[in-house]
Amino acid sequence: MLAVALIANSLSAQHLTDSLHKLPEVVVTEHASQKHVRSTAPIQQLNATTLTKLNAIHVSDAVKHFSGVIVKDYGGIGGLKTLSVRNMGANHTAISYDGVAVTDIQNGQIDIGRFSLQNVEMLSLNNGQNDQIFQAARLFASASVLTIQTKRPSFANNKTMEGTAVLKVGSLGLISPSVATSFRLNDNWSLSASAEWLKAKGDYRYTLQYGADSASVEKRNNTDVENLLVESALFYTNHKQAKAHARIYYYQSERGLPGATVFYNTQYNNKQRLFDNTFFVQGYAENAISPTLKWQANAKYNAARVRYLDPEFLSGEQVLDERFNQNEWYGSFAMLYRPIANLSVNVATDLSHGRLTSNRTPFDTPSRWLSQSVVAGKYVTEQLTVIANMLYTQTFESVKQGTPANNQQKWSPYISFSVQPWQSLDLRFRAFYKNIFRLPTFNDLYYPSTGKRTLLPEDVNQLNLGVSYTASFPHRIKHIMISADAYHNNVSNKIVAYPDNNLFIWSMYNLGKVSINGMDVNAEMLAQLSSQITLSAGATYSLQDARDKTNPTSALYNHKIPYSPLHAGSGRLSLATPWVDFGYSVVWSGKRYYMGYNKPQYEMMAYADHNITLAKDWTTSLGRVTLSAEVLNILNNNYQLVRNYPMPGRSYRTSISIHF
Amino acid sequence: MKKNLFACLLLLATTLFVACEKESSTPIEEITPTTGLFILNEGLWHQSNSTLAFYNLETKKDEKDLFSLVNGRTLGDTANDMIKVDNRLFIVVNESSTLEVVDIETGKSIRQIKLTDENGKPRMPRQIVQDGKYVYITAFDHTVTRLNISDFSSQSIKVGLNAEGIEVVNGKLYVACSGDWNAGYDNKLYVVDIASFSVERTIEVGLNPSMIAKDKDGDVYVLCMGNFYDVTGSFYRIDTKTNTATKIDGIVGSEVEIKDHTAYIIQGAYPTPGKVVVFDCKSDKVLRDLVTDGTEVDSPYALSIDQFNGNVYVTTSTYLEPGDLYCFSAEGKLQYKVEEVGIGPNTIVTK
Repeated sequence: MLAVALIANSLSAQHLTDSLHKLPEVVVTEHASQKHVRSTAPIQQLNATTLTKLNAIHVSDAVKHFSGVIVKDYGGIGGLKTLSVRNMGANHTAISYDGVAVTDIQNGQIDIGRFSLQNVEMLSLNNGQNDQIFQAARLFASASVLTIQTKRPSFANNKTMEGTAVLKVGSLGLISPSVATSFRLNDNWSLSASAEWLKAKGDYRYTLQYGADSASVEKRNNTDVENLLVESALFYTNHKQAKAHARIYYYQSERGLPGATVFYNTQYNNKQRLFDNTFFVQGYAENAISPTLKWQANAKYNAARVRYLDPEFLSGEQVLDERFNQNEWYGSFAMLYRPIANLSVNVATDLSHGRLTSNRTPFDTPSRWLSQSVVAGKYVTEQLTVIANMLYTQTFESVKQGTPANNQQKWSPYISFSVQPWQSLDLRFRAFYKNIFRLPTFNDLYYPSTGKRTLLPEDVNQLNLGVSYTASFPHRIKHIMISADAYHNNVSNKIVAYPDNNLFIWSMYNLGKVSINGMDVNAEMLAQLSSQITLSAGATYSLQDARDKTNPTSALYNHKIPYSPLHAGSGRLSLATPWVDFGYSVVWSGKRYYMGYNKPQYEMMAYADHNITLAKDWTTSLGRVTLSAEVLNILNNNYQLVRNYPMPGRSYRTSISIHF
Repeated sequence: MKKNLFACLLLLATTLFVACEKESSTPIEEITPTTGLFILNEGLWHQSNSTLAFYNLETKKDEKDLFSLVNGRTLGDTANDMIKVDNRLFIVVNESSTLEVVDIETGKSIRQIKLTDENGKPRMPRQIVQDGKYVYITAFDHTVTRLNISDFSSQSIKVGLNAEGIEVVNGKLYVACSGDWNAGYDNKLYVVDIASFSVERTIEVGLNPSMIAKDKDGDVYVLCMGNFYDVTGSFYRIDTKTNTATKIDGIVGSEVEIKDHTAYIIQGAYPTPGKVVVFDCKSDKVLRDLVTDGTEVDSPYALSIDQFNGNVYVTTSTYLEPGDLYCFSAEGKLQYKVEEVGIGPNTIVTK
């Protein structure tokens, strides 16, 4: 969450700025660790410095270090990766990229393996929602939010240009050059531009176990990936209250989709390809009208194309070539009003229009107008924060042919608080309640034969109770932070596929109910071992007990839901010395079932994935040069996150970067 | 005459020797030579967790994963069909694209045959029948493979798209070719002459023909699945003497098995509970529901008829949990139930 940010934090801890009376939204401090501790809803953060030590190159690698998450990872660099938080399913996790939600109206799940960490300043995961109420309505509208904050141009010593160039080379045929630059145009304007290309062959050997007495070493094929990401952003600030930025983003990817390791037939099902093209432009502006009134506006246009190609559909006589295009327009306007010093109120309204087209026939060509509005209030003192809001959602569904799905209207309340009982002790208690839902996706509603137009939104109720403690010391251990949150979630009207029409075809129903009890524990520490050596360490632990409560007469009733380990966690440690920086990280998980029916034969083994990094910095005339070397999955374990999708064994990565 | 001889031969092969003699004269419910049941469970797609279970009727005990226990390896991915030939089980495993030949006494795999085409591509076998000398295997690569059961030599011929159900009648193979949603569903039975091993003719039936069974007169009954969209399923009878198809109205089903002149059909789709009905092949009419004692069978999935005593085995599946096996007398009274035989129990063979 904050490991090395703590260094900066502990240095400035003594002169914490109280911005209470400076900003229209009452935000007491902005320090990462303070944010973590003060937040009324759990927030976990990884900053750029920590991210470099996590053996992570994509967002999907890094989020495994958050507590309470399950990353569904089909293995390898190109494999699809989605993020489920506290067992509610990936559709309930919103991804915010620089303040604007990334959406997928087709299936609602965002592949987080596509986001590079190269240009990321901060990665945050909020359960419930962010404490910053001055934001678009859409960011209130999910059960949890993963926020990807990109780097902002910053110029040291009156430089007008800064940049970083990186080359990564590694096992699995990985090669990835990237460059990020920023230019100061004048006092008010700056520009950033970056590009990253990644190519990997991705094939690896793994051991396939056919049973107790039979195994073979096989090669994972069709795991190649080639990505290109180009991004540019323009920033404006007048150093008073006005801020604006605009971003243009293009991503393209071609990858193999390695199938499951089908016993005795591993080479089949290994020809499918996925092509992605995503383009968006988004803009943001905010300004103050008066000391107590402020507005912000967001706009985005997103165009995403997906092409799925199976050249050997049903063993080779046919080709399946499906293309789906989605377009979305999005606009948001928010006003923040601060009637008294401790209270602020935000009113935000968002409107978007999304449309899905395809080369499939017949295809309904669905589109949706989505209107979301929120009224949020926040009351803050040094020792107490209370937030409450109500979100209203209305959809208008239409189709080019056939019958459109039902329109939906929903009211969604949220309330949270954080209290510090003793002023001298940075111990805070927090709680939140959130009632939210996810809309049926276009696949849920319209997918030929399985889709159901009458589907209702899938509801979740979340209740969280937590405690956080932070302390700074003058001695060797400089800083510690610990938080523990217990939660109860329930998911109802869960959208599940259920066999229909004689079991050959499945349809979507609002059938599922899941009850989840769990606990997340996060701990951080920073120690100054000597004048030159600092140690930072972090650990997370997740306890999750997610049970099927759908039907009391079913054999599955009260069984644990698939892919949900009771125990899981992560750890990391980094040692900064004048000679070399050393980093170690581990992600582990206990046993879990791949079936909703819990019997030992459906169990998946526990695993731990250990990684180490060595890094060294030099200051040269060209700039600061960093060389790093990583060993990933040291134990060379082909563990599986999704059954029959083995992960790569031990692999190596080196990178050289120059900051100029 | 020839037809009767053939029926007798088939019985001979699929059951034990005594069957043929007893078949016509002995009343059912006598001492049954059926000593156990092999139940093939397909498992979940791409989980490679198909199982072969064995239920011992004498000890009332079952071994849920006989194949893995004996062979130290699992059966593979999506085992689709199984038949008994002499003292061996022939099991086709769809996604693994294998044929396992298993000793019926020990459960040991005598041979695993990879079913691939001349380019090494998996055929993805679906269903299997036999005529005492050969087994005939339909496959997703639009072929029927004929495999000699003594030397395992084989040859294949192309039929229609996605060959599914298959029956042997009077030296001919009747093959249901379903097509699929991508290429378009087909509506034909392919008739293959066994002697020349070539397609002789096609017979038009309903859209998406999948399941097939034959009665004692050699009439072939076909369940067609429709397109799951605007064309519903249908049911056809083919007179194999004239090769003419007749549609039988009012039946939409997912599985059909026939003993003599009585067909058992699984009907119904969620949210309507599925059920097994008894159908008379002489009058082409549904006679009654199979179950007459009020036993509730949730989500019937597959059925099989004991050729000795006429008992009807019905399995259940939701794919979410292991299914159960129910044994009903021909009169529809529950004889016994075996719980949790495996995921997706699709074939039952008597020992």
